[in-house]
Amino acid sequence: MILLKTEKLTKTFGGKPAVYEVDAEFEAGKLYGLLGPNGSGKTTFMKMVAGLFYPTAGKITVMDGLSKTASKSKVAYMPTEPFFYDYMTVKTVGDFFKDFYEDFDPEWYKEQIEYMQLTPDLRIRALSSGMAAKLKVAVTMSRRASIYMLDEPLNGIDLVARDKIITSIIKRSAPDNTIIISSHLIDIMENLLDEVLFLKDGRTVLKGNAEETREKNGKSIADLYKEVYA
Amino acid sequence: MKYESSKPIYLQVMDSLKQRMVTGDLRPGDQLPSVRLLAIEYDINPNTAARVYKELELEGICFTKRGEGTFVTEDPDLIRSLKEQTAKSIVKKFIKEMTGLGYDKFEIIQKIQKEGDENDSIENGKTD
Amino acid sequence: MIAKLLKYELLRRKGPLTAFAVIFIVLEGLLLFGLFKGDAWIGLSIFMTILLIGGTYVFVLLDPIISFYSDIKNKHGYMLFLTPVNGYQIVGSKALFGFIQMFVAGAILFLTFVLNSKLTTHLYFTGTEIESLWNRISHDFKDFLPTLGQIIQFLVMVLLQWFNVIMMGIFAITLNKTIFSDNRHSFLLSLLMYVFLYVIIQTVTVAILAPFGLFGDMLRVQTSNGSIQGSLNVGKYTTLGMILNAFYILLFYFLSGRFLHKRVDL
Repeated sequence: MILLKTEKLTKTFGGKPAVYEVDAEFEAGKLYGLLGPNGSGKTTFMKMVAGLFYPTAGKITVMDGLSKTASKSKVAYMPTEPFFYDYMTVKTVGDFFKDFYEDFDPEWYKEQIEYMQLTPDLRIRALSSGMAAKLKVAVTMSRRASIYMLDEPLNGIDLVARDKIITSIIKRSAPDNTIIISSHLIDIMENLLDEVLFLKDGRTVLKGNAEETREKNGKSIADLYKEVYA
Repeated sequence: MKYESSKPIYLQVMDSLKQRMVTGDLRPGDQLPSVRLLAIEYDINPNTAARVYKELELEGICFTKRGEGTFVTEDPDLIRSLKEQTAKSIVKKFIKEMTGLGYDKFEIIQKIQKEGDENDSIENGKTD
Repeated sequence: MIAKLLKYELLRRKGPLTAFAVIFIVLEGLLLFGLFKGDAWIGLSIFMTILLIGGTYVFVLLDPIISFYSDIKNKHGYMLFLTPVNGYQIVGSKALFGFIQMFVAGAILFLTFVLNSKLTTHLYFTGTEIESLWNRISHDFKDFLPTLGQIIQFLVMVLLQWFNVIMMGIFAITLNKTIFSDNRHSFLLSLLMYVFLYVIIQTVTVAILAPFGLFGDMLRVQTSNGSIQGSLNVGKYTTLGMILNAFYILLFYFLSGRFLHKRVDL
């Protein structure tokens, strides 16, 4: 089942295309890697699907054609930057999500917070960048969404936290959802992915099944990546 | 676990599991982790983990009890032959590398003999 | 959904609102201090009165606009804009919060001044003095004094006018993040947009009022220096003002909501 589909999706800023005619389909039960260096259009692509940018041209279909507002209740988007209100605490962030998202699971959130070694009374203002990054993953993965989009989830994260974040993602992967992860840390993400989609200057330059791509090219996705973007 | 770049990941995880069966870390009849836990343990995608079990089942090394999970085969012969296979491939690889260095068959055997004797004396020395 | 949005808006504005309340209380304290001290200290009270009125005015008008601008400009706005609510609900909650805040602040200000004036009369006048003063005023200015209905009408119009200023600010900021989103000098553009809107609104208002005899009335007010009350119908203008402001508010609300829903670039 296809949960997300884009057709000729395009976004230009001041006449310059950030994403150009991207056709992609995202199936249930799979983990996708949206790969490419900074500025290749990964974030712009995700923000359009999340409804933070409007497309200049092309089409986005979420599930069977949900409205923009309805699709926000099915899409769990995690931006790269910390995006919480300063006045909040770890607990208030959970309350906010519970109030606005029907699919939010407070029990799961509690578990995730503990697993990430955060405490409910921590103030957002007082979080280090690593803690904020962990909180982002914790709260996003506490939703039972149909489409997860994680923009650079491993940015600014130490090695121990990295494993925890990867574990959280794997735990959430299920036959009825699709997880899209953008990253430029390909060697770490590589084993996690079912499918890869390489973006370069906003265009799709390669897409396909990760294992097949490795077998066909006789090299790792990371090596292939280095070749494509060299 | 560190993965080799050109070999499919599911094959590498399969090899790792087989290795653990041969060394006795996993014994005949042992229950294997669920697909999701295997995925977490090896930092792989759950679909890849599922494929690992599917392929191992095809080889007869694992079997699934419905509703209970996946188990290591109870047939000791299979594990033994797995051990044989592993030993064979190690030896093959060794011979290939030694031949590459220019040793012939007899020299290789001599080398092994000598190394083995030295090992024995060290072992004996320890026990004394 | 609106209720939830308002709830988090309140939590979020807790800081600024508390600061406002503290400053308000301090100023009022100084005002009372002046009143009790008397003599030259009355000057302090008068100054504090001006600060209180001016401060409340600026706060209730600027706060909702700043809050909206901060959501649209900063990353924490993602939290709001990612929730499954549409642009109308977001603008609606911001505007409603601004309106409630304005109403409550206005009411508190009003009650404070009722209290202050009571205190003033109690401290400096006797009951009969006030009564005779009041009698003299109502006798001499019989023709000019508005009725209670007119006062209420006027207050409602002023409230709507203030609210309109807030909506105009929200609309200007929305434009800046939707249609003008490519532009680098977005804040300046917002400000310009605001001034531009203001001029347009004024022009349109005058143009609409003209057929109702605005220029004739203005001429009469300027040339006559005596009693013109009989011929000048002030109520006409307050009613028109209410209708026009309500119309602008709805227009800005609708346009902001629509742009925010369809074409936002955050």
